[in-house]
Amino acid sequence: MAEARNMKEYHGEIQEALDDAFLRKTLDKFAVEYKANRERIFTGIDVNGLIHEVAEIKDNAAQHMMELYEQFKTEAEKRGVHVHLAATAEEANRIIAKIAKDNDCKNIIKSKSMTAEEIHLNDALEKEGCKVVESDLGEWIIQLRHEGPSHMVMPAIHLSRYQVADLFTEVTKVEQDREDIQKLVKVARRELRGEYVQADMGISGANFAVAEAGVVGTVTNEGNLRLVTTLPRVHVILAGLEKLIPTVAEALHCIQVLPRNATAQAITSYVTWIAGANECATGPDGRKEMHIVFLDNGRTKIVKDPAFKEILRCVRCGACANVCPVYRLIGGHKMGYVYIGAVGLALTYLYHGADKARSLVQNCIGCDSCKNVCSAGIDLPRITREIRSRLIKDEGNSKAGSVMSMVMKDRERFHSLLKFIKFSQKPLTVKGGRFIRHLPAVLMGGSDQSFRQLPALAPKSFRQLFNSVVKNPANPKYRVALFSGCAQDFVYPEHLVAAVQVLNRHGVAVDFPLQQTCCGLPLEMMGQRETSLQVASQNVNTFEAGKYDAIITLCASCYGHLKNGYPELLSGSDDAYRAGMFASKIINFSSFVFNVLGLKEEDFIKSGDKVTYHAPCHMRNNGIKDEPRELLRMAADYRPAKEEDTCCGFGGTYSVKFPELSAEIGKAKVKNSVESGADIVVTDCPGCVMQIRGVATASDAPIRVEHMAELLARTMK
Amino acid sequence: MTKEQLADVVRTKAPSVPATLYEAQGLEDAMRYAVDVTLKKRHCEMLLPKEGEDYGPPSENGFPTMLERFIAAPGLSDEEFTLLQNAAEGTDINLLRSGLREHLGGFDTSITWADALVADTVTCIVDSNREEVRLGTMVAEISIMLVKKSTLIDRLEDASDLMLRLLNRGGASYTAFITGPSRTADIERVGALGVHGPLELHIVLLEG
Repeated sequence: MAEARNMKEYHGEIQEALDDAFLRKTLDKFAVEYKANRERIFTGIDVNGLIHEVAEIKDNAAQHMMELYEQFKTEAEKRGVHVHLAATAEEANRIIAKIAKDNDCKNIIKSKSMTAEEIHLNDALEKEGCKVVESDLGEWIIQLRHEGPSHMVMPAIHLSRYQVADLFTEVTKVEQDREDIQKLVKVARRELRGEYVQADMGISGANFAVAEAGVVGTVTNEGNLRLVTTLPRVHVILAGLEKLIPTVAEALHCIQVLPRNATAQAITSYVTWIAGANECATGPDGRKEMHIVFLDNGRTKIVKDPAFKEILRCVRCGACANVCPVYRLIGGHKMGYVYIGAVGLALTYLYHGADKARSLVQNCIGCDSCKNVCSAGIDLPRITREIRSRLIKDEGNSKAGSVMSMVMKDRERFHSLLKFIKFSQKPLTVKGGRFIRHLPAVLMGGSDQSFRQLPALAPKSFRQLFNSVVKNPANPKYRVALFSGCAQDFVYPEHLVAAVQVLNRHGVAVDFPLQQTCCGLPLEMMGQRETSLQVASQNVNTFEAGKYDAIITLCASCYGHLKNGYPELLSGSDDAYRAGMFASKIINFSSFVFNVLGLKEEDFIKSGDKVTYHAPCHMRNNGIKDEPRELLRMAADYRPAKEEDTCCGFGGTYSVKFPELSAEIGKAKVKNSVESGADIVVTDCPGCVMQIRGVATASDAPIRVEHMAELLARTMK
Repeated sequence: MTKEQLADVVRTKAPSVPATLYEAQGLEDAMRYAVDVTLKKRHCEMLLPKEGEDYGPPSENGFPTMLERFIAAPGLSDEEFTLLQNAAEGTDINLLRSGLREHLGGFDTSITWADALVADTVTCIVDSNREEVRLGTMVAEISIMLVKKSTLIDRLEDASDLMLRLLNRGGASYTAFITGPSRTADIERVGALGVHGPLELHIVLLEG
């Protein structure tokens, strides 16, 4: 539960997590195993098709939220249930406390509910003098430790068996085995049995509230929910309004994804469907006293906000945390308030307010891994960027953001500034002018960049070089334009020069429209929406997309933003049509040469260089996986590295905002690349080159970094 | 797929659930199986021991065990229950048909009917409207599910019609999908069975 009130405190919290050796080891192991297990459990299943259907089902349900509520209420009331609607967290707590009071309940047993965590229900009930016991093992452990969950599915993942054993020793006053997890689990089995028996009220959550049958479905492994909902005479279900769904068939459909994505299980041990006040020997007239409390707490407002409504699709599988390179480093306590992971950043803002979210929402590196794995295909990074831009709109711009916007909204001003820096950087360069020497953090806005050696601007930008390097064929097979992006235009023009050589050699005419400017992703990451829209508009109007067979970029981040970001950002604007045309022509260099040009082994003189690959996030998360690796096999001796498909830690401005995290991710990337036995890491993005080369240089790691275009240019026949 | 092909799917997948599969030669055999399983296991742990009561030697977890054995059989018809009584004759097993709230400290075995078995995931669909059925399938150390081959269905998605039947059968209902024993991985992501409910799940497949 990140409590930081500002970025300084937040950096302090992050450091605490980075220093927790057990947490680091556990989450590293989990990140690797989760990916493999997920792949295994979805084998032979059209996962993207399923996810798409879940998205449609949940969108439709959210659109009809209040109608479904009315239908559910009618059906549930027919079955003897009292249905309540709480507008706020406080109201939900009041309603549940009143149910306890009216029914003279003092001992409450709960099964896991994130919605109950959202409203801090336990605190509210304890204030009313009730005893509340969590029965899910992980929840029980963290309750005894007075902590919040650090993962939505595995709330105690941050704890070791030793911590649990010591806790159980303290609670039971009996020395517990510190090694044997099976025995520790049995301690909970015995301790909690008495709690179920003693309880007079059970509280549970909901995965689905099915309107057609007034039934609530829950997905669990431990089975504690079955005892919680059976033994006590009163049962209260707490459900967010987004849990409403029209039909049983749709709920069953979602269940095909939820456990697979959450815990790599085809199905959990228990899925329980409760409709109405069931038989209960100790209840009034042998029936359960049953209540369902639906929670709004902003949900009916979110559904009306086009930029945020997608978030209501979330089925709380936790996968967005499982694949997040930041979660992997710092865990859920520092990457969320109550809700955790990528969705947690957004839900903290939406359910717990800007104060709790201001620092947290900065902590998304923007790699899109969560978007790619989400059970319901939610574009979480887009939502996080949207929140950043809303915070700026509501609270005013930051100093850095204002300067950035001022410079970048005018291409000429931006490029003149770069020219000025190029001339004035000389006294600061090292290693033959290729790098900038380490600058004190105070000159970097307080950001300690000593983990990497940053590059100097190139003596000549690509826009200055283009006319002297291009040799367009007389009868081209294809006509393409290059979108350079800032990093390659001004820092690594050699990547683009190499690309022009490869393209010209294979009969492609290359054009380079000079009015192009920054793609705008760095502005989006900083919440600078207005300027981001201006540069997007400038770019789509600069490229006459109809003239070209393709618009090629060598930058993975530009690629993702131009391809997916532009049509969304510019939809509804005067440039919507042009943005669509532009995006449809955008392709990355590796895909173009492999899929369109169809380069083959015989086009290269295979080099003996041992190379490995780093898969840039915005390539692999857009489904481009095989093309670059096939090219590597043709051109050199490809040695796959561990975790090629993991972020390098660059993230543009992220690595300046969170250097301590960027450094850790970057170091792991360099380590894995070196261990592959390769001498060169090849990648498809100048940002990744900057990060990996920067970290490798700063740590004297024995590995070089090359862009794919450079490798192909020097090995082609 | 034919019922026999679906049974093959169950045979292949049951061990990894984990569920122990027994293919019985009729109900008598099924009841004998329940009795055998109960006789072979160590006596049930007593999770709610009372002061002054006598208990057996401590279990592997260091908990007191019960001196007697119990099979809970909620939801069996009179004839089925008679078959169970016959099978248990001459043993020290006590049979419980109801009143399971008096036995929340634990019993050895429960034997209940599943309304359907989903082959793909080896999931028992159990009408649990009766409280005794819920308690039976949760409080027993070994839960035995009786399933008729004719109720096999292919995949979970195919269960929605059956579900609607179970859910809409007038008034309140409680329907359970049960796939294997009670499990957790909440400590260091290490899998452990029997965290609140059964330590083992057995499926007895019957012709018909």
